[in-house]
Amino acid sequence: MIYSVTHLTSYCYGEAVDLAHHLLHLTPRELPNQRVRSNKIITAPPAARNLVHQDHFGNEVTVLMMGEPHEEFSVQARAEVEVSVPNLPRPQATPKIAALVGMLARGDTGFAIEASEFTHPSPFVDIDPDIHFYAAQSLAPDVPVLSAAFDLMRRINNDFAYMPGTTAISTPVGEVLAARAGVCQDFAHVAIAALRSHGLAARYVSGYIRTYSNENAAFRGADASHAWFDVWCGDYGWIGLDPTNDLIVRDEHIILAIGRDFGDVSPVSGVILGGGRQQLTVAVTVTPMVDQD
Amino acid sequence: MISHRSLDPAHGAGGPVDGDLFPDAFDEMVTGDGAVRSHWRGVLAAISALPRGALAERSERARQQFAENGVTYNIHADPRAGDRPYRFDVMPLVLDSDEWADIEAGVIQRARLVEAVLADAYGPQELVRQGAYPSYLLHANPEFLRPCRGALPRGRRQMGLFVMDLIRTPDGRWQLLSDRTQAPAGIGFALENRRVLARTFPEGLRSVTVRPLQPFFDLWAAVLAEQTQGGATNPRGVVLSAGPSGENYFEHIYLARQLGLLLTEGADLTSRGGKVYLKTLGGLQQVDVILRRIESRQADPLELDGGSDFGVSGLLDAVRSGGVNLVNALGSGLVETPAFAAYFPQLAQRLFGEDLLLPTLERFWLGAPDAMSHLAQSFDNLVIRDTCAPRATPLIVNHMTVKAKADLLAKIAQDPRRFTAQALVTPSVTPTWTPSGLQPRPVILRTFVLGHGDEYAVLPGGLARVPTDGNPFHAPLQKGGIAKDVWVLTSQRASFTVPAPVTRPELEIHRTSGELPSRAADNLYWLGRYAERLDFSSRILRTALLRLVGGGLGARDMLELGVVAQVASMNGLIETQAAAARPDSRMLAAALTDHAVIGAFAGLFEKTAATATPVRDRFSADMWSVLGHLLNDTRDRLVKAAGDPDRLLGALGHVLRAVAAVAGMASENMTRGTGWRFFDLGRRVERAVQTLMVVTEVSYYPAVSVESAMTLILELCDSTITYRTRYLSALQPGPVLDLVLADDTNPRAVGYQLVRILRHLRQVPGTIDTGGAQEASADLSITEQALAMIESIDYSAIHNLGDVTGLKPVLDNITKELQSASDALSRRHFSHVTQGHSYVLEVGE
Repeated sequence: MIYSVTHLTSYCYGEAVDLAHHLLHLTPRELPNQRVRSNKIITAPPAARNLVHQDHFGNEVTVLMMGEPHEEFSVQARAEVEVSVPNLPRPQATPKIAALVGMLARGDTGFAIEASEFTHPSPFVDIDPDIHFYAAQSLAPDVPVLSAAFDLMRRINNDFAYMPGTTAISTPVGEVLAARAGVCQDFAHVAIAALRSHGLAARYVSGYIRTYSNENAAFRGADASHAWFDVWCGDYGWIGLDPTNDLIVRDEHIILAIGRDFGDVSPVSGVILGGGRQQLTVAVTVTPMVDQD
Repeated sequence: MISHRSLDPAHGAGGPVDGDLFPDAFDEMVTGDGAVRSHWRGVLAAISALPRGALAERSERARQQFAENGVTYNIHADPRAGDRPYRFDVMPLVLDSDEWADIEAGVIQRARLVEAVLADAYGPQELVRQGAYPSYLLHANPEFLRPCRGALPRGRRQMGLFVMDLIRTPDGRWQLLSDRTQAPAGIGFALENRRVLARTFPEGLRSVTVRPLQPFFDLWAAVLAEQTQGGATNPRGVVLSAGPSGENYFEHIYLARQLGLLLTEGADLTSRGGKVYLKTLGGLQQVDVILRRIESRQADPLELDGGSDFGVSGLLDAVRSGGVNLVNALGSGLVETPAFAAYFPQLAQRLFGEDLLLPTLERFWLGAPDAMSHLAQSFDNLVIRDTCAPRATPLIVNHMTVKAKADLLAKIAQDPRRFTAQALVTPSVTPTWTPSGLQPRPVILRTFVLGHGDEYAVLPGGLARVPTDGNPFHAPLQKGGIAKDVWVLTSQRASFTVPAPVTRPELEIHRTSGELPSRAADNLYWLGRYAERLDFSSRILRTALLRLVGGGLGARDMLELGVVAQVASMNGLIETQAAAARPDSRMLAAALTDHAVIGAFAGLFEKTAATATPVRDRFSADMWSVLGHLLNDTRDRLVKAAGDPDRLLGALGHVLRAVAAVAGMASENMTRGTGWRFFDLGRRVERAVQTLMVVTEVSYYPAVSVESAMTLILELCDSTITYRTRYLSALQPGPVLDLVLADDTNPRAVGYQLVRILRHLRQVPGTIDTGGAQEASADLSITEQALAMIESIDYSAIHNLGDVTGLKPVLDNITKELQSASDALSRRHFSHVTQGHSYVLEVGE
């Protein structure tokens, strides 16, 4: 499936911004099941400096600098991405949780050592007894990891209300858990905390989900940037699950960036001098270029 | 046989020697059979030759010198607690040359190792992938800053200055206690210790040949200068400090001076286009080298901790582009975790095929296999440290209650990886002067290694510390403890090897310093204003108190007291309600002497200090000590005099003289550069505003007589003597107002201030990149208008109070003009000092 993605973010500032630095994670990743055919980031005003580097997680990061006073800032990211359905294992065939936890803790292989980076708490993913307790129902030691993760995803999807506006990026996992409500990044953080609290490796994925024009078919999170999580399944590698839509990641998700949590991969962040009150508009469209339906 | 005890009778009050508290400790000075080690004989002989009681007196002199030089530790948590005095022992720690050679080789090898481990962690990460150390130490380490991975351009070092804390175990071997790699402190203190000791105990330094410290600093300065790529006329390096509120601010100032760097805070710097610049009044000036004295995480709100106010947004971007060199590199704190050291022996083998020359104090990470059973066997003989918080206080299990031990074990069992166990050993003891004579005390030795290119140099000496809180494994500088100089002896008498001078391009001679950071200009301006406000406030209160203490209040005193009270309340010194009370009321008398008025003064002192401290590096030592006198001694005197009008009068006199001393120092000792101009501008603006206020308030007071009004105006404006010598006769409003408003030869007159203000404004450099070109001269033209107004008044036509009050609209106008000139000045020069704020786009519908 080939998608055309347009992600427009624009700020209207109350007062002129004299100096701005922005950090973008807006370039889709090259991955085994995802090929980036083209991509482009256009900003207005044009940046005085625009530098791209690869970060620790392999994501492409763009650093922008604008040194002239400006009252508006917009960034448009366009890409054409080809996504194929990954080879998904039968959940029952994946390693049992106890075995994986041992591998991660001991660092049995180079892969296990790399994956173990995603077993620790991280700035947006606190781990406490409450989340451990919530997760325990799904994550019994003798259950195959993917079956368990499926169950966890389904429970989060059922137990939590999808309520845009109730949380902020800084809402701790504990509060989301208590309120049983949030948006995609909260659900991803809850799932990640749940898996990590039992010694498993889970990482945060930021990206997009296919937009359907038919409202009934529409996915949640389709007109903004979206987020879900990957769980490590040993030899089967990382497998993506979308708790917001109760969906395994196949070929309707486009991956922008991968990190420990939202903080590592936030699509647009920065430091501005001045600006006053700001108004923000975000628009995302993900349309298949060849409609196979 | 000589022991510590045998020294006591001659040099102290005598007393118990509690060497028995450390029964198995290695004694630095005395061997097991009681003989003095040969390298201590020189210093002991020098002490023996001193007159009785001399050590006590030398200690006191040293204490005074540190206080005078402003050496303090800031106590971070509580700004009101002020600074902690520095404790120093005149008795050095003496090390012989062979022993030092071993230490030197050991710390250099360790520095190479640290550099290699960091380069791998922020580069290919092969070590962790191959299991050379547990991945937990990297992945769960809060000092592993992922955005810094791959950031350093090829050939750049991770580390410039390494610090290693050593202790000597009972077997006589020095062992590594902790690595400090973040932005380690102490080296400035080490040099200052030597300076003070050289003055207070010169006999000691003459008795043996001690390796000098200065060459190390010269080398360091040269290395930093080499790294400045501007090369040409003005190589630029800065110290990046968290400012006066941070710990060890003294050291930041000190290092800046010692190394020829400019002391800056994050707000002074800006990152643009992959380079870092200093924001000065003259424009942006590129910075090549930053001696980083803030935590890595705080250094760049764009890519690291977004909430930090101390950093420079885009700093990491500039590092990545090679536009600036940071010492130490961002993220260097990674190896401070106490667990890392446990893997250094195997890392040394793996990376260099070498054994560690400097043994590491035995320890094990509790996340390692078998570690928990090891823990159970030897729990009581361990010190437990937090794996990921290297500076947290280590817990000595042996000192804990049964319950605390059980709690700790339970906590460890929950997640053993979070803890690291270290062997409990007794550090060596070294003679330390106490009020009861020389006593053996445990000691930690902090060593400093400079890395440059592929070379390493060790400071031949260091900072020895005697922990005073009973925990010898923990002696952070700001937690107190007693500091000591470290003498490394050498047999070569004249071994002063001076490093080859670095060839630097010849400096162009210029007489201005264009690089005054904008923030410094801002502070100097407000320092001038607050100092002058302090002066005026003191005069107001003194004028009031003089009438209050004069015995029975006459009618005229009553009236004048009422007027001054009014002025005092306008100035925020007393409550409006008290000022409106009957002049002979208890309420007013109390208000003029009670804690509220003292509080108002304390507030002024605080503001003065807050503006002076960040620009401390711009003042000479003498100027600083005069300021210090004003801000400490004088303030204390005033505070203590609360409630007692007579003592208050005395204290106010001290304030006035101290402010005058500061002004005199500035006038005689500061070059007429931009810094001085801003300081003087502040004083002039404040004096003009205050004088205008006095004239209008006094003459507006109901029922005031001409006599009284003029007396008070002259008194408050310190112009009484001038008036008397000039006019001899009765007080008339025309001549008085001419003297305090228009006369440009009277340094207290408004006209005089305006002339000076104009002169300064014409001289200060223009604005920088703030798009404020049209504003550039607003402050100037406004001041010109104000001066014209003052001069346009016909003073010979002023005959009575009615004429004076008639001037009020004009004078109020001038005050307003001055305020807006001050605002325009701020916009023109200081506005871009403001820090940016970080934002993160909310996502995820």
